[in-house]
Amino acid sequence: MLDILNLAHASIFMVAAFICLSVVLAGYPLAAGLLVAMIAAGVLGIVLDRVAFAPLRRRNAGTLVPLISSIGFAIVVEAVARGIYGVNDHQFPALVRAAPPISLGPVTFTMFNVAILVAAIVLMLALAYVMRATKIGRDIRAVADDRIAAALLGVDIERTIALTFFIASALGGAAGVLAGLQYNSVVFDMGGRIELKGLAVIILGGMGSITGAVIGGFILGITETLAVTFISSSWRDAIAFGVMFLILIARPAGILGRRALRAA
Amino acid sequence: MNALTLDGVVVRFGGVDALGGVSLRVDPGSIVGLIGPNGAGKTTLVNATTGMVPLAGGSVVLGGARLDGLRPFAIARRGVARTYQNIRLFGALSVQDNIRAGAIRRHDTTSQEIRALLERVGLRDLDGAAVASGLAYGDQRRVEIARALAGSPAILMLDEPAAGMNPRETSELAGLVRAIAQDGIGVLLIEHDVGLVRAVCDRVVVLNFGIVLAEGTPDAVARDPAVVEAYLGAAV
Amino acid sequence: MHDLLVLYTRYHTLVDQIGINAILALSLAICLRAGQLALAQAAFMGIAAYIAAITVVTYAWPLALGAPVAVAASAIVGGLLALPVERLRGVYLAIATIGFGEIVRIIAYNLQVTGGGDGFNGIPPLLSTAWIYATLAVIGALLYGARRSRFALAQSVTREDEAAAQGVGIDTGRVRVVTLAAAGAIAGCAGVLYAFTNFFLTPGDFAFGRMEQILVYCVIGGVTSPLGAVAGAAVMTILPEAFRFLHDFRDVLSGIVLLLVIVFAPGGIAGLWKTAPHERAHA
Repeated sequence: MLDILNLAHASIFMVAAFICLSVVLAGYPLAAGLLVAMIAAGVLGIVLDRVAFAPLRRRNAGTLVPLISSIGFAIVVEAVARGIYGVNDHQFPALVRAAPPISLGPVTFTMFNVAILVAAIVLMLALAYVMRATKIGRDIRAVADDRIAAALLGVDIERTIALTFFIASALGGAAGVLAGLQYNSVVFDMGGRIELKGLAVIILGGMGSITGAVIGGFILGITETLAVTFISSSWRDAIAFGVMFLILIARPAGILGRRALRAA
Repeated sequence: MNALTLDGVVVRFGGVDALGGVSLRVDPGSIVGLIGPNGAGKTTLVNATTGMVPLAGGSVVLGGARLDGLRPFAIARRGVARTYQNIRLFGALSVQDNIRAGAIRRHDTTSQEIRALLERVGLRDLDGAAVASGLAYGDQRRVEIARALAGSPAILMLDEPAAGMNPRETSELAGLVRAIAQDGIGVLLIEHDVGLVRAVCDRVVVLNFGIVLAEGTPDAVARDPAVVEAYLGAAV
Repeated sequence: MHDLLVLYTRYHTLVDQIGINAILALSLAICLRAGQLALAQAAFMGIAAYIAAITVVTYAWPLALGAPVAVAASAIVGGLLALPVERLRGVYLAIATIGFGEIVRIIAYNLQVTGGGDGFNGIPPLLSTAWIYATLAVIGALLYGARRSRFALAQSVTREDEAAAQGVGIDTGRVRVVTLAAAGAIAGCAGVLYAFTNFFLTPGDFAFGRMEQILVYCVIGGVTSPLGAVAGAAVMTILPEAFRFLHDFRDVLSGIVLLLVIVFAPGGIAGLWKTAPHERAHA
């Protein structure tokens, strides 16, 4: 929404998963772990903004440079994680994941999967509520729409941006925890695997449109699953990106993209 | 004859007719003024002529060949040049490079040619290596005109070139526009500055709400009651 | 002279890497000069590397035939890629081209002829450091010689203001096609050189990770400056090696250096080198 491509998001995703894991391993309940992880992720997001993006905003550095800056931040975070946790997979204790499988027609899942889905939906709804019904949400949308006008109307730009990063990172952190639980694997480079897809989803949906991102996410998820079912899993990603490519060609500003970049 | 002829040009944005069937003609060597209140559609008309917005109806013809439907760069290559309401120089490039860009399709511009163009627009002593975005506003406008002239256009459309100029600069601009027309170029001048319009234009077209309200010599148009009314009594 | 030889033997892989990375950096720099955030250079490199390797090793073509064919193929792919993405700008172009790169990687991963995930083995060392640097020199000389050309101007102008560029008669679409084809050719050269100095190819060699690295070289170097890109490649290739003693934490230092350069040296290496107005008039 802030028109920046943030490649460090995935690294925060990964850190959150590790933090939740550490909390759970220390004996606390999963919910606590999730909460702590989300807050930590949010804080890390603010740090990311201060270190990698804010100085560049001041000098109006364009699209490319902040992207690289975020890469730098991601490199640091991932290297630290690797140094601390090593290169191996870490697992959540069995207790946390136990649940019997249920079959519904051709689809099999467990209550655990359901819980994750529910958690994801709850978070999305919470985000939607915040964005629409609170002052913070309005401020964020104002800044996203027209930074200068928002400033003139009295919105504290830097604080709003910091909050945007907090929320985005906290959610990213939540996703990290959920992913770590879903696949039962927490490892330093887990961010990398979803990084590109996540980016693709956001851009596909149209930068700046949350609904678009959600729709994009669904399209991507469905496409991938269909591809795996009907074609083959090794081509899954290629097909996902292929579909994304085609959609972008048809709609150059993303599915619901409100902001055509500087008109040609 | 290399005249620019717009015939019944219609431009539609959403459900609104920004231009509702406009016809006008610019002959080589003549200066046609295009005036009207803000929002009347003047810049839209230039955008439609240069291919930046599509036509919903009508035609644009230059010297017998249709321009509408061509891509903007193709129209520019046929000899239609313009300046912009908000100056659009290539800011990070030097003055020289801006002018070289203007002529890029024809040949590589020599430094003498660049000098000559700068002199033509009254910037004889300007440092060619200066970065365009660092120039004074009035100088930027003139470099923009030099860039447009560099391509040896048949038609030059100037979008509010006198905006932000003081009276001395404006009268220099008037001289420049007359000299350009004398070279055989057909000029379409969009302006709010009444004095400038009266001073240089052979004919004036008045646009309001996307249609032509009146057309004729500056004096005739000034006396037209519909025009006077449109300007709410302001003297034209 | 003897010391130089000793140094070279010890570090010759690194020297090779610097050369190849420099060529890759150039392949991105020309796109960035046209304002085109097309991030498919790693894919172009991979396409040429595999084609050269397959034709020479599997089909016993002479390198003198396989190499130009591979480079030409990358150039053609580049030119063709520019067509569907014609209307895309900025981040949208970036992600579309990244997606293209991923598709290419996965194709390489799934085909028999490329060796799939196990990689392509047994490539003879037909090329050497000398070849790498000779190629770099030729490409560098060509780009340098063309820097005041009308095409380079068309690129800069397209980057500055596309609508005004069209207004002076520049076919910006064609500029983009030619630029991407050139990027394909240059990255293709890097790919061929890589294949025949590394003996072994895997799809992962040409994945997004490499594309990120190439981006870093260019941004550190100063985005639109080819010379800066080369310098950036050199610096960022050497850095991790220099920090090897930090083991797992050496990337931390690389990342920190990257952040420091970006935040405190806006024009990158090129910006530090030239005085600002002169550099900008050149861009």
